[in-house]
Amino acid sequence: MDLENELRQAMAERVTDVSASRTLAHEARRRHHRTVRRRTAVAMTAAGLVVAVAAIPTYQSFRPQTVGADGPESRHHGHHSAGSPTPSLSPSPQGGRPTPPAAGRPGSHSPGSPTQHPASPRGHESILPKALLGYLPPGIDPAKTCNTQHVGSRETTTCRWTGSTGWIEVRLVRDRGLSGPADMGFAPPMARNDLVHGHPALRGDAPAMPRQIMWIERSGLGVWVGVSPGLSDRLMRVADGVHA
Amino acid sequence: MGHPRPVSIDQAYVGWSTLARRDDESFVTFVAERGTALLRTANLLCGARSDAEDILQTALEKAYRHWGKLSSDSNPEPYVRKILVNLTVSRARRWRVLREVYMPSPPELPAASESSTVELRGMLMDELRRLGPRQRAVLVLRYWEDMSEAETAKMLGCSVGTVKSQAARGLARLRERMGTSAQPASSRG
Repeated sequence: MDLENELRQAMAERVTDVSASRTLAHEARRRHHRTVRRRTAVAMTAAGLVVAVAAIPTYQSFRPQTVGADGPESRHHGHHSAGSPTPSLSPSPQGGRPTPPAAGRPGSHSPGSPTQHPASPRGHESILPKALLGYLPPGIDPAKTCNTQHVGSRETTTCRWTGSTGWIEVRLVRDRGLSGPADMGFAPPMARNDLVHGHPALRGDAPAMPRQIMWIERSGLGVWVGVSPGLSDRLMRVADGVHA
Repeated sequence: MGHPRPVSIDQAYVGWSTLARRDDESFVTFVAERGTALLRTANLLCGARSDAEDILQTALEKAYRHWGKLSSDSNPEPYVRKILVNLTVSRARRWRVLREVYMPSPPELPAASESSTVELRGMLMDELRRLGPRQRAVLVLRYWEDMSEAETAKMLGCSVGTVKSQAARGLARLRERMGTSAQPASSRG
């Protein structure tokens, strides 16, 4: 038997009745268009994912610049606390030196201290219309710890931000009797006159003390801002960014 | 075979040159004219009609994707056939493990007689289907498409020596499987 010829004959017999359908070209084109559509969908999905992935770090990069914090409105949301005030900084009412707690210890308040509420989406921060800090130095965590204390007719809200580069503390003092920065009772000795938001301010920049500045934002509302020594050069920028 | 002698693949594929390109209508015409021949080749290459139709459609889809880049004055068939062969070989390799048929004992050899020629050819095709995809492609291109060894080598992207050895091994395997009745004509004097 001539195998080559037999093979040819066998192949011819096998495919004698085979013929292509008339829709072969149509089917091929349809499959091509379907493939194109599928690839386009995959490409668009991938592009969407890339944009989403790229947007997260972008969002994270500008998020610290719009720091959410308790404003004066916080007291309208049930974050008052009663009991003896225990501020994290302890300036003497007579203008003594404040004693800052260790940076990065937001929970350093005493057990009897007023309720503390770290800033979180669950808290009141998300429903407050404006942020307390308009500027946050690099290395400071946007999350904050706040508490509110009442002493007589005075209400003091203290918010604190900490991070690897130090800490920032802002106090909002509400008292109808405030007539000047010194009335808040936080003024250090050797304080210098300055201006914040066009208001007269007292600035304490003595060595070995946390830099601080205080002013009367409006009638009945005083603001005190203190920063850790490492952030001394950012004090005025932080103060200018306070929205009280 | 009845179809025209294919031209070089390089001549058919012009890429983004400024030569006249093929249009959509020419694709339909080409498939109408050469679809059956391509389907028969696909059938022999993969051994099952349903697979052959699927592979041919995939090959035509790939060809259609680049149809506009083909020169209008050349024969696109070698280009399409090369896609077809490559697809068949790669798909057969991919599915070889799943399709391999294990038998407890060797199948019965066909009896060699003139009256059983039809049955013998059926067995021949079954044995052809058992060959490896590349060996089968070599035999189909050489003995069905009547391609020379050089053309087959170019189509498969291998050397002429490889085509020779693959064809010889494939035929030897068929002879072995078909028994003494399939001795080469030369050896029988």
